Amino acid sequence: MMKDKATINRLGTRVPGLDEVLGGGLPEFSFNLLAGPPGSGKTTLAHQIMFSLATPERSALYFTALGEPPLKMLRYQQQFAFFDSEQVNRSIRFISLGDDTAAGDLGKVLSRIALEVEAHSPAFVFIDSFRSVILASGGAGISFVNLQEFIQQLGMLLTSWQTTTFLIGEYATETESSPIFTVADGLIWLRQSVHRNSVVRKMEIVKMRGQATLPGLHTFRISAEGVKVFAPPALPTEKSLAPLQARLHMGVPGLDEMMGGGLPRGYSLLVAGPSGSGKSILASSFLAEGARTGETGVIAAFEQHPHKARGRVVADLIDSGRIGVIDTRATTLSVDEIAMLLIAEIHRLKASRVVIDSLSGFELALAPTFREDYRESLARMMSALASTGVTVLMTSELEDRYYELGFSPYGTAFLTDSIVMQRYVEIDSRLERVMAVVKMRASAHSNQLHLFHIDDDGIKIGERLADHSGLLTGAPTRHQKLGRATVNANNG
Amino acid sequence: MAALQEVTDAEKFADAAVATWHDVCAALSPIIGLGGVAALYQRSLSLSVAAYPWLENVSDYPPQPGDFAALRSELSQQTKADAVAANDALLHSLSQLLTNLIGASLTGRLLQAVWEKHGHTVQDTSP
Repeated sequence: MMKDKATINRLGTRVPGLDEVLGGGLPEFSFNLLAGPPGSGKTTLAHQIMFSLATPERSALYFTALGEPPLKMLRYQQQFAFFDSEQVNRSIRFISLGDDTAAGDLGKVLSRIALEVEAHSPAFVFIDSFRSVILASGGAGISFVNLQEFIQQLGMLLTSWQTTTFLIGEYATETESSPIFTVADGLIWLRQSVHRNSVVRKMEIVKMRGQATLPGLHTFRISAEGVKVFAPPALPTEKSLAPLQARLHMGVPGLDEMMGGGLPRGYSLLVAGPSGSGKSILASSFLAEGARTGETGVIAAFEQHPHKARGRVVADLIDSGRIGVIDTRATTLSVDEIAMLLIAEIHRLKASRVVIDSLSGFELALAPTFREDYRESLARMMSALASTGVTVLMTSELEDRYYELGFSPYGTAFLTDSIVMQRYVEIDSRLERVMAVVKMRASAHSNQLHLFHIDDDGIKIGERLADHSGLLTGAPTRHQKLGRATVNANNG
Repeated sequence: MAALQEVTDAEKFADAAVATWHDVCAALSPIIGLGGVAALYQRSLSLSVAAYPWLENVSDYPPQPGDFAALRSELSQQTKADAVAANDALLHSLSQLLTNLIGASLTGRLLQAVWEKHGHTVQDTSP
C-alpha cells in the first residue's frame, strides 16, 4: 500500500536572504504571523513577499484594518522598487476592512473576509493589521475563547481555500499571550535592537512548521529595494584537508621565497603591523599581482578610500572592473552582511583573491551590538570565504608593543593559515622596517627578519639582519666579531 | 420650451453625474473604505466651493458615505453648463487628491475603468 506523504511546496519569496533563513522558502498553504513593534518593517516585508509571489492566476488579497490608512500605506509602499502599480487590481487586490472592523463584530469581519476570498479565490491572503481587527472588536473586553474561536475559524477558512496567509500584527513582546501564536504555522518576529545609539534591524523565525529554519537573530536592512536579510554564510561541508595546491605570488620580490614559494591557494594570510608599516601596500601588491596573471580580486576596505590610498595600479584595476570593491560605508554593519556582500562579489567576478583591510577597521564598522560576538562571527566568515576557494589577505593594525609578540586583537590570529609580521626597528639612528613570516600552516618558510623599504613601486625586501639580535625589542644590538670573542655593542 | 428642455437636460446630467460618483465609490471603497471615499469627496467639494459657491450646500459633516443625493439635487438646479463644469471640477479635484497621495500610475489603475465607462477625460496634470 502506498503511503504517500503530503508534499509541502516551498515558495521562493525572492526577498534576498529570506528563503535561506526560512529553511528553503515559504511553505505553501501555511498560516503565518508577521509580528513586531511599530516601525519594524512588517508591512514592507509583507508587501515585498506579496508583489513577488502574486500573479493573475495566483492572486493576492491584502486586507487592511484600522492600522494605517490604506491611502498612506499605498503612498509609502509604492516608494519601494518592488511595488508595481500594474499588479494592483490584476494580481493584487487591496481590501479595506475598516468599515467592518468599525462595527466591532468579529463575526462580521470573518464573513467579509470569507466573502472576498470566495469572490477572488486568492492564493495569498494578507491581513494588516490583524491586531487592529482584534482590538477594534472590543479590545480587552473580548473573551479569550471568542478570539480563539475567531482565529480557529479564520485559519480553517483560509486553509480550506488553500491560501498562504500572513497576519501582520503589532506585538511588542513575545511573552504576550495570544492564541494566534499557537495556531500559526509560522511566526516571524521583526525587531529593532538598540545598543548605545545604534539601531539594528533583526529578524527571527520563531517557528515554521515542517522545516528546519536557521536559528538565531538575522540582521536585515530596508533600502529602496525593500527588505534584504543577511543570512549567515553557509558553512562548507566537511572535507578532508586538500594537499597544498599551487602557490600564489605576492607581487613583492623576495617575499615568495620567504614564504616557502608563495601563499598556497585557498589560504588566509594575516599581515600584522603598526600604522604606516606598509600593510595596505602589501595588500595592493597582492591584488595587482593577481590581476597581472589574469585573476580578479575583491577588496573590502574599512579604513582608506579604496581608490585613493592604494596607488594607481589598483585604482585602475578597480575602474576597469578587475577588482571589486565592497561598500563598507554603511554604519551598523553586521559580520553576516559583510560576508554576504563579499561572497556575492566573489561569485560575480569569479574572484580568487580577497583583501580585507583592516580587521581593526572592520571591527569599528560593526554595529556595537555585534562586537561582542566578533570572534565567532569572524570565524564563521573565514570558513565561508574558505569554502569559496579564494585566497584571503587580511591586515591587522598592531600597536608597537615591544615586550610582547601579538598579531591581532582578540586572538584572531589563530583563525588564519599564515601570518606575516611587520615591525619598526631602530638601526643606526634610522627607523627601519622589518618583515618576517611568522606562520605558514603545513609549509616550510623562512624564519628570518628582513629589512624592507617602500618606494613608488611598492615594497622592496632587503637584506637579512644577520648580525643583529633583539630586533623585536625595537632596539637591537649588533654582533661584532673581534677575534675569538663576540661582544655585544648596543648601537641604539 | 427652451427652459423646460434645459431643466430636463440638467436632471439627466445630474443622474449621470451621480452614476459616475457611485462607480468612483465602488472602485475606491474596497480599498480605502467607504469612510475614505467620503473624506476624499468632502475635500473635493471644499476645494471646488470657491468656483461654485452653491456646492456649499452639498457639503455635509459628518460625511454620509456613499450618499450623493445632495449633489444630485444641487446639480439638477443649475444650468447644464454650470452643472457639467462643477462636476468636472469635483472629479478633477478627487483625481488630483488621489494622484498626490498615491501617484498617477496607481490612481489611473484604480479609476481608469470608471473614466472610460462614463466618457470622462480626467487627465493627470501633475508631473
